[in-house]
Amino acid sequence: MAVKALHAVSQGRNGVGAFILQCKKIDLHYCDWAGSSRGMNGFIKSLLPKFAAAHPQIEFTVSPRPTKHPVAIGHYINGRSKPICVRNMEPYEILKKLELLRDASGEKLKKVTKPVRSINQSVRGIWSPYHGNGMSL
Amino acid sequence: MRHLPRLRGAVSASLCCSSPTHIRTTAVAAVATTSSSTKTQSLQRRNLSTSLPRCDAVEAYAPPQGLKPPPQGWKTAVRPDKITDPAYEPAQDGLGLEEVGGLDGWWENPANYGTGRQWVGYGPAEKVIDPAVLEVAVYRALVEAMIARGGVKTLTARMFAVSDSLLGSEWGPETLTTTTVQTKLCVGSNGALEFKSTPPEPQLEQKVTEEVDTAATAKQEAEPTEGANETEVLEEAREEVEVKEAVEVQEEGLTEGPISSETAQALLKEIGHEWKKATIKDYVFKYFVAKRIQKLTGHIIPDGKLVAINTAGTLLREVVRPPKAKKLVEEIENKQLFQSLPNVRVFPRRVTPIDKEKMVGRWKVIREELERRGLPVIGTANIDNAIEKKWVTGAK
Repeated sequence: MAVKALHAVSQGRNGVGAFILQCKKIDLHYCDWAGSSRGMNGFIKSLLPKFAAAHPQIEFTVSPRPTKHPVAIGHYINGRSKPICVRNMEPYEILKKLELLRDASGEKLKKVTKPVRSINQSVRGIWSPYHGNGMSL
Repeated sequence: MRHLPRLRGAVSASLCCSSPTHIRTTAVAAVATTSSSTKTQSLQRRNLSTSLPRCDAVEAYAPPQGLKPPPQGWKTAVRPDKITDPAYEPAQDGLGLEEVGGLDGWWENPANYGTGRQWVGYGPAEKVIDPAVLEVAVYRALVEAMIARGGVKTLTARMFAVSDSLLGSEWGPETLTTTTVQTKLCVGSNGALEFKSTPPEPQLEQKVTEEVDTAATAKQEAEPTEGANETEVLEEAREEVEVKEAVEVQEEGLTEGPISSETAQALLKEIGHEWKKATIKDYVFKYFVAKRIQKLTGHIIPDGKLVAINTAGTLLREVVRPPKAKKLVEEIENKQLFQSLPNVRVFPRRVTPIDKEKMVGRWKVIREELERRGLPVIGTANIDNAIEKKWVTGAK
């Protein structure tokens, strides 16, 4: 019995039916001593509880990193990570950075020349020299 | 061309080199006049000052009691041929010589400075931390300040007169605290703090003052007298007396210091919460209450905060405040910020690469493999980098 290939009926598209957030984990590092972590410490105390409660699908870890600048590192389901140094930032500036990490896809940053891209096949098909009426020379 | 800086003050006579004789004389006379007028002014200023002139102050200086001047003069060792001690052995080198005289260690010895130099703080050496004891202390301070005020709404010289005896005393015996605290305070018709029994008990002030005097007398008896430390025999005798007196004082229940936490808890049930709503607006009254709280508990309320305190409850909240957390983790733990959030993990220390391996259960395998190969589990075991790296990079 010959094995038949399965036809691809549909391709998975994030957001059509279900939306899976690409960011799975965010690490927050701070320092108890350094002045550059003052904003980060304030963010963890004041804004993080609400942000974490609003995003239950993201795992948050908070850990000290003594004598280092504060960092927020986003981990994505494609295996990549995106670290952002948030030294000397105010809590609301750090909140913006965390929103950026949340919304990022985890892909490398690329220059977008064509704003619209489709994964649908062309309805005209691929041109072939062996099909059709040919060309009269 | 050479530039000379502009002179702000009067030019001195020595600088005026190429001037005619009569001008020079005038200049010198002017300078002399100025200096004499300056001297008169400084004398007047000195007379206006409350402190003594320097030379008089040095003469009037009386050294504190027990202060010893450093030993002066030379000490000469006895000549070796005149030493009669049979155990004497002459030193073979410089290290074997005995040190004679000198001021080595003299300045560091506290016995040479007497009692006058020892600093005595206003409040207790250690702050009271127990919240129940602190609440009792605040209530007691309010009651005592009210007694000192004597039913007068605005404070006068009376408060300052009784401040030393009544407000400046320490905790005293436990009965004193109980007596004071049993006096009920409540919110008056205009919202101010008042005694619950109107008019306030006439014997209350007398009772409290008597107890303060009793406690002060007991303390004076327990303290050693100053002139008795001349000989060792007297010191030993005094120590024995002190021990006996301390035992007697303990037997009589006249122990000094803050009350126990259990006693404070029991007293708080009697005190209630009504007094916390009362307003305190008089600045002098607040000042004396704050001073009394400092004497009892060691907590200093800054002036800026004292101005903002308008109720007894706010005053209590200012004193009974948990100590500030030193680390962010402690603060998160105290406030329980992420207690209800299962997606947040907080680590008390740095998460190391080994911790990360342990979290996924890989560290055990890594350690076994490293041990099997004879490699160091942690660190580099003083093994340098690969020598080939130097060859490739050309680093020296």
